Amino acid sequence: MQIIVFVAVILIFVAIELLYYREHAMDDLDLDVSFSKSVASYNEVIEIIEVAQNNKRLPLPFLLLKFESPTAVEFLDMTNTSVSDLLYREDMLTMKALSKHTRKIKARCVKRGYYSFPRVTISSTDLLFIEKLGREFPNNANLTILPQPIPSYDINTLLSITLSDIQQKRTLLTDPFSFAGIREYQPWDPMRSINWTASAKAGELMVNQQASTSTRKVSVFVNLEYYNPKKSGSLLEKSISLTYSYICELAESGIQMSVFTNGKDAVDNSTTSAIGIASDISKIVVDLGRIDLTKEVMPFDKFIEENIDNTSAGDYVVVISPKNDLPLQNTIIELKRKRPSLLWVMPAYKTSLTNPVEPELSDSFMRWEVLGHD
Amino acid sequence: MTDEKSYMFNLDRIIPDFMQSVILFFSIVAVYTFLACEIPVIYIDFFYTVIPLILVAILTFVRNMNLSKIPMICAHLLVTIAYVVISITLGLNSAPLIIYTVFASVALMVFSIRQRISVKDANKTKRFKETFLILIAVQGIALLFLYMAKQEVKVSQMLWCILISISMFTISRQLTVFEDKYTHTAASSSQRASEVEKQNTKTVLILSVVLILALISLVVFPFEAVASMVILFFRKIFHFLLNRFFRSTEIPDLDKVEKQEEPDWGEQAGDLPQYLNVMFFVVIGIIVLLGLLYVIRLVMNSFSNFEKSEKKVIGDGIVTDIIEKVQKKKAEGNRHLDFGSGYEYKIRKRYYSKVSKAIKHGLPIDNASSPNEIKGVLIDSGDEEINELTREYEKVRYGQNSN
Repeated sequence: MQIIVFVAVILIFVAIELLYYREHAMDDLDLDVSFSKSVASYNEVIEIIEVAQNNKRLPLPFLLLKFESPTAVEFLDMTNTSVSDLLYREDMLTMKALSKHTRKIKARCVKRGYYSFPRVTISSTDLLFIEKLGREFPNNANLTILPQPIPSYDINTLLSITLSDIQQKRTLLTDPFSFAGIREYQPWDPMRSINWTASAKAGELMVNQQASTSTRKVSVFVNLEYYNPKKSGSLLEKSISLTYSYICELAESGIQMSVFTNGKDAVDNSTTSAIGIASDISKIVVDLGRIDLTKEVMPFDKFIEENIDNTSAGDYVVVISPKNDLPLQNTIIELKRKRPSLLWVMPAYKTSLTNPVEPELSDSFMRWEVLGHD
Repeated sequence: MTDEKSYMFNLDRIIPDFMQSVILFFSIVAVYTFLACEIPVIYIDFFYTVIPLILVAILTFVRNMNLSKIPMICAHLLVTIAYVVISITLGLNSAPLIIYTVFASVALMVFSIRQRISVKDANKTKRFKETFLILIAVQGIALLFLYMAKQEVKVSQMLWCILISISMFTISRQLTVFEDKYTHTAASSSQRASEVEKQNTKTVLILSVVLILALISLVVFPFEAVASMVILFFRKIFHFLLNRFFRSTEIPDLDKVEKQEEPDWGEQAGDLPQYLNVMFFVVIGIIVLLGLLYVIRLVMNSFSNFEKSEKKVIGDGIVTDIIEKVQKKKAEGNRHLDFGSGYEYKIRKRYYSKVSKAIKHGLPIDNASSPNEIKGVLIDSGDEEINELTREYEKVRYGQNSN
């Protein structure tokens, strides 16, 4: 008799526990998986933050949190991560009654783009580990990784061409913020332009010489059409990186710029066109980060037609395009006729064969060689 | 955790290991008791049958030592032979005792060696579950046989063996199930498996307390007396109602009613049908269990009221875990919900219940969501009747002009 009672009581206890957990285990759970910042630089270490909160008195033995992460975000701790087209991460969090478990995992951003965690799956069991319980949560976390910067020495030539074109010594009015050199004092020089340190060194009065800078803007047109039949994307990424580094340097030099690309945004599918003032290029760089190269781009000639009116006649125009076929060169020639201060920068691999450049463009052309191959 | 070196002297493994050995030991006792009924000459008192528990403990210890295969087998042989010799020397020297000692020792040694050799078996929990069923079946068959042979004392002893075996299996399963089912996660350096194991330990403690108290209550609780009283009570009510509503409506003349001799309920109460006994024992067992759980909860709550708010930060720089307590969200209070009346009440109440349940299940609905937005969310989650319900709800809630 006692044995029947004992076994029956245990079975009833187990059945009640199972039913209760099946019904209420996933109630009152708050879950969130997010990035520590919404915009990160290339190679920056950010944190992926997982938060699970149990708002009820019913404890769970644990919570297995599973989500898919893009391979562009490399976890520094790769345990419990399966690698295929995505990184499949599984983390175990404790879930006592009325408790919150926050886990921060450091990860490195290794590829430009726009990424998100659209959903998170959790699974748990009852206290006796008999039945598995699971649920899917919608999630809304996204991250924009900026393009890989190009070292300054690699774009020195481009910068010096740009800056030398912009800085002209042809106006009477000098720019008090642009320093052109030191020379001996002349009677007509104002006292305030005397450089006393240089004078002490030289033993005679020396004055600062200012350059004349006309206010000019740089307009950058980036063509992201495929440049070979294989539809490779590596030089397109290089183009974006070059644009990013270039406009950062321009911003540091205090030069206003505008950027136009025919690449499509990963979120709203629009083409990128933005104007940046020297002190704030944040929107432009985020837009560059969000370009999705898998989407079809607008033909460059049509793109130029639509956006040429957003530039001024005096603008210094830089066209960055790895594509170099004849129709494109004709488009650039047409552009040059409207905007005489133009430079075409063509990223290319050392071993790449390219089409010959039209004579009209020969003095406005720069081949920017990149290490590696397609 | 399953490789040989790390397995050694793992307290978390020794306790369930010992419990599993005890279950096997009780099966050995069951087999021997059954044989002793058939062959009375080998019969020994129950007290002597449980002495080899000492050997069970020693072999568990030896099994968990850091020895390779041959030394481990030799150690087992040595310990078993030493135990038999010491037992005989200390007085267990009658023929039945010697037979039993040798029988039990050899069986335990073989089991222990087999357990040690199969330490790398990844499916230990499943395998032991199957083995447990066989062992319990052996004990059950022995119990049945003893019951049919009307060996009441041995039936009681075998019964307790079975109850203890079931309890030990439940606890040892709970101790090992987490590690066995989630091996790779538990072994990972970045997962806080120790926190989960701590929680599991609490579950094991509660389970152990409940089982021990249940076993004690089986001994001390006066089941028959309470069952008799309860049945007596219900019988009196039943007869009262029967007399009140189903006899003749003629009002009896109380002066003339003969006093009928009341049946002796006490005697009749003893002759209860078996199923009724079982039902009442189960009910009382549940009540006792729930009462105990409530007491345990009260005690734990009183401790938790004095706990400081806890925030633990554990990390190695790459993975950081912050575990903290949160306050329970206050309920919205006894807010009076007015659903109208009649048909309006029915529809609005149904709609309210459906949406509350959806919110509770984590669907993205908040206070600002309109009925159409709520409808969209619920349709996505697979609810087919929300279309019609929303239409009706808007009609009753917003009047005849709603779309």
